[in-house]
Amino acid sequence: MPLQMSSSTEGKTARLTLAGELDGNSASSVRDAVDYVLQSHPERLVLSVEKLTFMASAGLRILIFAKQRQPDLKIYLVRPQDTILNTLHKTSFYQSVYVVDGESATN
Amino acid sequence: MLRTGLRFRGTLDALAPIRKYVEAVAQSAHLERSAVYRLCLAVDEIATNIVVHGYEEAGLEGDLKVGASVEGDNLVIQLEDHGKPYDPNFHNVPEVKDFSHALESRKMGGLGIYWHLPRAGRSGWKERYYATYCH
Repeated sequence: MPLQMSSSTEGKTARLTLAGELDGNSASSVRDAVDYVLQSHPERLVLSVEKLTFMASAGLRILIFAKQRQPDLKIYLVRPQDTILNTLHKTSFYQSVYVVDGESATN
Repeated sequence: MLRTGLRFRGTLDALAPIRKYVEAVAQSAHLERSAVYRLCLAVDEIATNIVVHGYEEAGLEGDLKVGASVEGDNLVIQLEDHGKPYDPNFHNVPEVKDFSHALESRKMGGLGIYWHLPRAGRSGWKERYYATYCH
């Protein structure tokens, strides 16, 4: 499924909802969206990825990009699928993000 | 040279149909769900590198051929392109120690080829990813 994305900023929290497949073709739009929401210097970036079915290394690079752009940013991943969770574990990205079951845990 | 297989344009919008093809092949070979995903991920990373480094950055255009075959206990996926030659064995691949760095200190490159380097497989299907470069 092609990537579907929505974004919003509320107070100190920026949110992106990603569904479908994040690969080298769709990564640039996600990176642009992250770049845009970080302009307000939020404390948290919440990525709702429950319906994200595929994430290539391009997705990992977006996480790096976000942290390099704003080192004090806290990144939350809401309900990643087990395959994506496995990717995060194998590359030790799991240690650098907060994996949560619901958005209430991001407050 | 691949004699059979599907031919795709060497552009990033071919990544999704390539994954779809590989997924279908892997499922027909009765790979378990997680193995299907890992195979699709490895192929996707190789295909991405072919498109980006082999064609786009080199100022070239071309096709990407993807073939599949069963050889004994192995499901073999082959990719063939005619882009700029590239051998990942001569690329700085991230090491496990690199993964201990904080995200803001990590390098952007190398994550893609990390996924398709040879790795030991589990029982049943052998997960062995290697790339032969055909030009």
